[in-house]
Amino acid sequence: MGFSVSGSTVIILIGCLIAFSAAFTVTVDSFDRVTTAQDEHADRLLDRQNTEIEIGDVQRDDATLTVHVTNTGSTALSIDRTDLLIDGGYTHAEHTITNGDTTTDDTDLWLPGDTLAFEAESGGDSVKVVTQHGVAATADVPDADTTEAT
Amino acid sequence: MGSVSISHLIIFIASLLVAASVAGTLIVSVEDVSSSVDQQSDSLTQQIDTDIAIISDPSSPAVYQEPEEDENGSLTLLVKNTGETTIPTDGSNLDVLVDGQYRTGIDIEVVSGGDRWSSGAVAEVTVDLDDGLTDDHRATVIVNGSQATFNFRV
Repeated sequence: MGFSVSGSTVIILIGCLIAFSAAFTVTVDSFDRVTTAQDEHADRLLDRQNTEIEIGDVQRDDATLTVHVTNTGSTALSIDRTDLLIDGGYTHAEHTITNGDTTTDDTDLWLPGDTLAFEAESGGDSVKVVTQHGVAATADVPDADTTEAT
Repeated sequence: MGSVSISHLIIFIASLLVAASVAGTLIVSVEDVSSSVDQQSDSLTQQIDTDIAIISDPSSPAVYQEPEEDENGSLTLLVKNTGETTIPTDGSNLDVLVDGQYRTGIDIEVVSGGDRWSSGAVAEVTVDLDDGLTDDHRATVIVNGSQATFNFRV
């Protein structure tokens, strides 16, 4: 009788250990995965709140539309992930970055304080610039004879 | 005396069998629960990682196309992937509601370059409308539980 009790207790104990170790590993993994995702989500929210752009001036020169946008926030943005909409339609445009006296088109980073200039062939009346986090700015295009921003 | 040890042996074997079956059932049940927790955390992670924004200009005429003689009207929304995951462009994860009504006949095309609707990319979601629209409307795009709402006037 004594052997029966201790033998079965050992088997149940080993079963409990195996079950617990399986459950523990999966729970820790799952918790870790969700926590990491939440961290990244919080980071994205913070980046979005720290992002701000301002459309400086919009000029039309014949068929060419030039839009100057300044990164007035505190995050470095990706130019590839920045979008330009003209009259509500997605537009691929040439871009250059100006920081003080330096101008370059060989970068993907749009740092705080830098001015991004988009150049597109379009006769549109309104432009919208959207950053990678979804922060947007809109401006109207002035008539061809004026160059002031609205 | 011999019969006592035989019956002890039988009870011993029986108790081992019962204990083994209890332990086996326990392990199988716990593994079932663990795999469910794993899947749940996977989908929760995907849900947290997915984020979209409708970047269409509500005041532009590019949003709503009037019905023409042989074509229905349609709604074109520019949807930006502001999350971390790549959204499939076959529409399997994407639902569109217009004025709270579920719409089928959705076409997705990535317009920002490349074929994949990856993080930061913009896709044009075109929704066929059987009926023409007038006045104010509200479109909602839902991907993996993440939703974006867009109000516009026709």
